[in-house]
Amino acid sequence: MSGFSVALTLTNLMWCFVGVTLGTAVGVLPGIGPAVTVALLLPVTTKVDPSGALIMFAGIYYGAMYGGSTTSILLNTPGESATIITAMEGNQMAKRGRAGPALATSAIGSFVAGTLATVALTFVSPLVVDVALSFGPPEFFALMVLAFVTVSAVLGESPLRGLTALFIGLAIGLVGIDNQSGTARFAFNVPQLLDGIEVVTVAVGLFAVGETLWSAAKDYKVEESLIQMSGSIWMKADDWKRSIGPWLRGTVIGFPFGAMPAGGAEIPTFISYALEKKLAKNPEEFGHGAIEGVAGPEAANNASSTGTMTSLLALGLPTSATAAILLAAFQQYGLQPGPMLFVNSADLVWGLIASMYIGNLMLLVLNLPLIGVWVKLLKIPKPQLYAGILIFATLGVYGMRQSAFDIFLLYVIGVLGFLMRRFDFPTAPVIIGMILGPLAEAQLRRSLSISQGDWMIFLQKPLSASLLVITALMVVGPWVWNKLKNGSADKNAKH
Amino acid sequence: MASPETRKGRTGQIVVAAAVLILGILMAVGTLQFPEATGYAKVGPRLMPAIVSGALILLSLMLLKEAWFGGFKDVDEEAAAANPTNWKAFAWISGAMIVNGLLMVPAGFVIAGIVMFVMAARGFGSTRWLKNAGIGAILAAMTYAFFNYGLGLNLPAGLLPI
Repeated sequence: MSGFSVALTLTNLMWCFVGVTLGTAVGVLPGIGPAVTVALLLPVTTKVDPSGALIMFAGIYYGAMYGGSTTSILLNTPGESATIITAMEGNQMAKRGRAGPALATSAIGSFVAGTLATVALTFVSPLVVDVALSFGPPEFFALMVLAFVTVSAVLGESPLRGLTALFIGLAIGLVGIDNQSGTARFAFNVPQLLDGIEVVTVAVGLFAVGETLWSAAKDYKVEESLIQMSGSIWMKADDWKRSIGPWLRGTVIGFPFGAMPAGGAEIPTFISYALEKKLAKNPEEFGHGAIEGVAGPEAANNASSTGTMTSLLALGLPTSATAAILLAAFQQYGLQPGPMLFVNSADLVWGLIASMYIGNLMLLVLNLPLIGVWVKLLKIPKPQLYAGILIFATLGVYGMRQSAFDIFLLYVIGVLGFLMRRFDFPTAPVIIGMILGPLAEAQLRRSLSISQGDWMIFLQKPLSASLLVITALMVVGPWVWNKLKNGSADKNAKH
Repeated sequence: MASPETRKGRTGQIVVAAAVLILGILMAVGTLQFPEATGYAKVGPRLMPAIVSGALILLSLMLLKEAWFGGFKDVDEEAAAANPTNWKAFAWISGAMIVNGLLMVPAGFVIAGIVMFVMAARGFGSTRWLKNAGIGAILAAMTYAFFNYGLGLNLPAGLLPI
């Protein structure tokens, strides 16, 4: 409750509103997902006090998610993998002249899921914090290893490319002066590298610049067709009746997935879609624009990303690219998310959580009627759109450190993003690796100095041992399973 | 096992895997220059880079093996070959960003932004130079005003008396 007294001050309400509006405006641009939106807008908050800034971020985050689903539905260009389903089914609805209800069900569904998931977050995080307060360095390190592996190896298409991306991120995170010993690592005497590489530069480079290069050099043949909005944006009584169930089920599926320190909002959206198809009276409508297929996955996506905030706030563990950038936002103010944050800066945390409720409501009340304005942003022709995105990208990156060096770095990372897209490497693990890597290294070194260099410490503590065993099973398990399956298939073939 | 002819389409993949390998090796060499852990702690600034470089070398060898025998899992090289890269567009965008970096401090945010805008738009095939310069100017000036005066972010004014 005390959180609302923080969030409901006039200034903070204003920051929340600015955040929601900016987030939607940037998030609606094609190819710009929530992670880049947050990264691009990070410098905007440098001059704002911490609680105001973080509250603004809650707004940006929700606005970006909402803007992203708008683009998915009208252009069929999902900004991130968690909106693939929304894009597919919602675009079908839009093609049949039902763009309005599709946008409305995703907006209201996001509101319902976001609010319920924030309630869950409010009650679950203190429990997680209580447990996490008893964690020592070995437990935290094991937890981070588990998060690394699930995010990069288990959830993607190719564990090999996912892990490569993760370790490239970890390598980027190593650049700069080592906090504990003062050794300069991989900085090549370049002063700008001694301070390390900004996560904003990497995120904006990989996503926004990489996307611009890709769009110019690879997508030149593809003509995107923006679907015209026609008819009412409001849902009919029947649409409401068909949406409420999927919203609630999506929330229930999504939140636990996000709250686990494993991440991945894609899986709950797929599960929700499959479930709704099974429960539907007319499953043949799925794939041709069934409103349940938009409502459920969109709610699951939103509940899951709210769940992600549980691991971020209570454990200090970001499990999505967006959460990793939010972690960087906290670090900008010298704050380290994790159980101690609830103890030391309770006001700030609860203010942030309260503003998540408010941001969600604000989004619905203020933004839903503005949908026509946002759609206009989609009509900007490609050359001017991407040229404009580059201006914002250089602004964001230059604004962080006032260094032209960072613009060249931004370009180099953009080329990396282009290549990663060309060869189908996932990019989120890079961001998570670079931001979580230094934290994992600190916990690793702390653990080993407690044990005086004995690695067995990780196996002697029951919790860290079981976390590491789970991690090992997740990496080796599928591989062994495949071998066994192929082995028996070979045998069958011989008969 | 794939025949040599089909391997030809995967030169790119082999180069990518080799690049990761080189990165890993360079990191490992760099790691050796770091001071050893001293005193009570037993672990120092070497440990994490050693783990990361070792992992990169291992992963790159596995990638190399995949690229050599059959190609990266689930990467469709035929589809990629059917959609060749437009290097001219790539070069325009690259030039736009590099010129922006060069101009940012001496010429200022607004001028650097206009030049980048025009060049990037050219990368997407737009040759209406004047119109693009105008749009770029409005956009860059508005951002400059908003961030510099509104939010107190320190952007370079450069040649313009603003």
